[in-house]
Amino acid sequence: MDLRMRVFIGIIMALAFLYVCTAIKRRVIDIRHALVWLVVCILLLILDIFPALLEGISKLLGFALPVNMLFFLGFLLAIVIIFGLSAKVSKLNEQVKQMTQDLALLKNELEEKTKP
Amino acid sequence: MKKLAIIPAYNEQGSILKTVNDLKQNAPDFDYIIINDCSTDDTQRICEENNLHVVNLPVNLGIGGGVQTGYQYAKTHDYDIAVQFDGDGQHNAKFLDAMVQKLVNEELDMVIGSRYIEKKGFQSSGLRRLGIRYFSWLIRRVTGQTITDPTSGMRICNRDVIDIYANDYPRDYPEPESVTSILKAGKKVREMPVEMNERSAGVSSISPRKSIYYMVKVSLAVLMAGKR
Repeated sequence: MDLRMRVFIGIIMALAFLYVCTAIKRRVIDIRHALVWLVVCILLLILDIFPALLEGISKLLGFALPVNMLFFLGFLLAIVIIFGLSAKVSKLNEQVKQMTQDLALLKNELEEKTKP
Repeated sequence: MKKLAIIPAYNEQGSILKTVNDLKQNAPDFDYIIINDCSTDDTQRICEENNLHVVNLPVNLGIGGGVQTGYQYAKTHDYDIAVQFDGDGQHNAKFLDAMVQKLVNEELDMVIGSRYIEKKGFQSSGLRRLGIRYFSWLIRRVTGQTITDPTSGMRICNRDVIDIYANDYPRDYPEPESVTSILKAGKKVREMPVEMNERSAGVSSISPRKSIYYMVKVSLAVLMAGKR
């Protein structure tokens, strides 16, 4: 892999890592949800810093260029995270529905009781 | 025997009073509860001014969430029988007593009011009928039983099914999926002929744009319900 590209990718990953860290500090994102992004950053950073590792794995899996392997890995991890978020949204949806129903039924009961 | 009519209503200011009056006149031994699904029109005001029994959902949940709230109400208030009775004037209360009779006499778990046994009353448009025939076929493939009107919302059920639906009910376009899941749970479901009206006001939840989503979502849901 070209050194310039490696430096470029390395800088981007380091910045992304720092950005996620400050987001945690400023409570923009919960640590539970940030962890997986940090893992992705670190993983890609390790492979970027140790190209021998990346080349070994790419050869093993039949990728023509190690950088393709790097992109593929990043893409794959992002997809996994996005699916996890979809699942989370579904769950939140269900929880909001249950709370809405409980609240509406409680309000109805209260109104029926206070009616003359 | 305590009987409840669940009336899901979303923006039904033009027909909600008529629906309730129809129930009071033609099925007087039914209690009713309107589930106002966060309507943006005057539905809530009309309900309150006329002192109707209403549960106001603070957030719009869609038809499935609304109907499920009705089943939860039926469960907590200890009803023996619940019927879903649409707030848009499509259903006729005069058929309810016969449906109760059938449910009790034949010891069934659910009776569905079908438009397609005697083919009387409003029959829906051609394309929709085709869709309904398709779902009927799909449900027969999945459960081995024939439901001629799987999208009918007019369905009366006993405590067992009230319990099931209070816990688990599909979110949108619920009818074909929910009947499949109780058939799969071994519940006894029969249909009887009813006549329905064209809606007197309001708009259908299935617009042409949504019909593709509807077909795909409901097909998948029926197949999944068959596997559970």
